[in-house]
Amino acid sequence: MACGYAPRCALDYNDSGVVRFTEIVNMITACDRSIHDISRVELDRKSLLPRFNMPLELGADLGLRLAGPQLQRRRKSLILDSEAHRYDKTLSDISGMDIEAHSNDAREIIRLVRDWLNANREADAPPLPGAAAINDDHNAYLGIAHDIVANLRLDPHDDLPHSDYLHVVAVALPRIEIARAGALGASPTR
Amino acid sequence: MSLILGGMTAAKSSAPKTGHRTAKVSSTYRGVRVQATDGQSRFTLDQIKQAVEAAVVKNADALAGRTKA
Repeated sequence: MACGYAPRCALDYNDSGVVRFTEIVNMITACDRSIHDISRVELDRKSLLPRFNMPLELGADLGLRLAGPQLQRRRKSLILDSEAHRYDKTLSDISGMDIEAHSNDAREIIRLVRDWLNANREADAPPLPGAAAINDDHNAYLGIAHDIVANLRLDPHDDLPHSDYLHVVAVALPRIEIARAGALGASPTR
Repeated sequence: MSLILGGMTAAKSSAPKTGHRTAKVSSTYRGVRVQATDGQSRFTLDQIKQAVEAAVVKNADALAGRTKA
């Protein structure tokens, strides 16, 4: 959201009356950029079996890009993993693609996503805010998130439904920028 | 950071107009227009604005770097 995009996520859907994967594919086709973090293939806490939703969604995305309608072949994708070349062992069919490693570091994730979005903007679009500024604002948000949640009389922040989270962030980002810029005694800068 | 911890698709304003929107925001952050989200919220825009504003005011010193958050 800090880069001017409206994120869509499988978490947006909680309708038991629809096939979840159908909705996910519809969502992917409605967007022109996708980010997949394949490091999230972790063991389920109860069953201790791996969860394969992320590779499945990545496969759907790549399938559209490789053999979908013409419009979908122009889509852009960013694939993230926690460690460089870990995918050689877990998802070897994508070897040769340019996979970015984030080392489970939030600052690095912000940098990778920001830089990728910035590199894939229209030629005449202004540059995006710098990764360091976004990261600092993200930390500022985390510092006040518990108070926002308390003011809304909600459950702990980590339990915020994704849609509520997006609405809160959309309001909080500009307000945090102003508060921090005021602290610097200057107008908001990039 | 919930935006990243999963398969995620980022879209521009061309996202489909599905579902009803209870809070819509159009504002600017560091020169970038914050896109409105189409998802449903349990809260009105005014409720969210008030909750954010109260949190910012309460933590003004921390945000200003005068104390630790």
